[in-house]
Amino acid sequence: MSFENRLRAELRAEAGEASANWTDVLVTGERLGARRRAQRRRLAALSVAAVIALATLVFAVVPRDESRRVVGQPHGRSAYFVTAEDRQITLRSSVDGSVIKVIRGGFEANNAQYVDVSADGTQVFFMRESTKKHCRGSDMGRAEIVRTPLSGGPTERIAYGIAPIVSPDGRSLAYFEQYCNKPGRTVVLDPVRGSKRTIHDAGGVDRAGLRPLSWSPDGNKLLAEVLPPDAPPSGLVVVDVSGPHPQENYVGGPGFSAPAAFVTEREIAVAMKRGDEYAVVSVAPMRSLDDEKTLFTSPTRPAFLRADPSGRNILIALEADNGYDIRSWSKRDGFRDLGNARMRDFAWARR
Amino acid sequence: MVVETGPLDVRVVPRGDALSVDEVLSRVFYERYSSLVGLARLLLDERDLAEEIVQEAFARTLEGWERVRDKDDPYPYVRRAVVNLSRSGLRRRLLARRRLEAAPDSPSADAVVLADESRREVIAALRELPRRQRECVVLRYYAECSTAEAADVLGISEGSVKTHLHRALASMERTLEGSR
Repeated sequence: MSFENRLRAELRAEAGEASANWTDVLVTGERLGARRRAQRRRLAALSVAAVIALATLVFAVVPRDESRRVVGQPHGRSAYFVTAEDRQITLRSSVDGSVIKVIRGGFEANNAQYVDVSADGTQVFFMRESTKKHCRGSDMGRAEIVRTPLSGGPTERIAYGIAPIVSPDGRSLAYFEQYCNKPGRTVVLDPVRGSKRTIHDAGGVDRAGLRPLSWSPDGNKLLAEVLPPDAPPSGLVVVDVSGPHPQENYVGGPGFSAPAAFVTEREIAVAMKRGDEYAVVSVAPMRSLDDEKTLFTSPTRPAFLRADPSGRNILIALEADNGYDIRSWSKRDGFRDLGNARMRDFAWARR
Repeated sequence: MVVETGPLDVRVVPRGDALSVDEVLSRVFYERYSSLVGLARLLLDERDLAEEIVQEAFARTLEGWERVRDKDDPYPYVRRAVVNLSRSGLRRRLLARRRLEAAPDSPSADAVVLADESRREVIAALRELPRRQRECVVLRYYAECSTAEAADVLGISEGSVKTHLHRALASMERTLEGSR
């Protein structure tokens, strides 16, 4: 017998015989399957944990692109502000007014107006007028409220209306909507849920509507300008929106030159003409002008005033020959010159 | 003498109505189980583990049926699974578990089986071979694989199988001659 044949014989003898039941395999398969499923579950849980850990690490370690997210409030003031100009939104430094970034996306339509920034500082809300004629007998296009990322990107229409103002908590957007020459209404929109609440309906009254100007820092009150049915003079109204039924408090008449008005922590600040100069004064709502307190004065007319969410830092647009001279003012720091711009509105960029 | 038979019991499987996975694999199981256990026994030092490994191989084949290339003949896949499981970490884990469970004074199964002196020498020589050579010998001379089939099972070239076999046989012959 050759070695190979001997090897075959010995291996067969050593291997012997065996028998089993197929059911045993099926039972083993069940056990194996259960083990595999448990392994997969563990793996999935580990993967989720790893992704969360990685994301945390990235956010903690990787420096953020300042142009993508507006951060930092040196001296309690936002580091940036935005201006609505000819077919563009400009992000500017609140230190010297220098241009940080220009956003031109989505401006096939007419100029941008009424600008505001979301509470997290990533989105710009503004009004633009559509190039399409909207109403019969009028050249006006339809006013759209749109938002665009401050980092640049597509512009998204979220409503038809004017004067969008973001609430301090960033959850609500107040604006005025009007269809052609019909009476308008002032609404508060939740852009995430899409729910809309009417806080003032101009139908059937002697006002054309209320244009939102400023939120109170606590988000409970909205300062609005009364839009008269014909020509100015206008007035100011504070609408308490904290309850289920909005309460209106009429502040004053033509003496308040809206839109140069805003809400401070407890009071309302408005620009008034005093002799040869203008004064920005704060008054308590529903009190007489005798209770006013002068915040600052100006030799030229403040056309726009915008307070930051704290109500302490004010952006001022002073009428000039070539557009507007922009300044900031706070009680602690006084005035800061932020240059000149041909703009239609501005707003603090927030965190 | 004429034996009359009844009608043939032929079950007609309709065209296109393929056998289920369970049917195909259970057929291979009943036809090949014993030889696969023998294969695992020869590859393993612990012969009692062989049956568990073969059952595990069938269970894994059943679970990973979509990975079986030849659905009509899954035997090569199962055979490869047996070889892989025999050498894998599973074997070590099972061994460790077995050692813990084994009674210290229980008689060795090897001692009973290896009564025959000639066989004991051959198996001892086999176990002295390096793992790869041992696998080639068992596949070639027990499982009756061709060198090409063995190469396929082990995932190596046919030439390597031949080389391993040549060295293994020479080594075993030397060992057996030395033991006389």
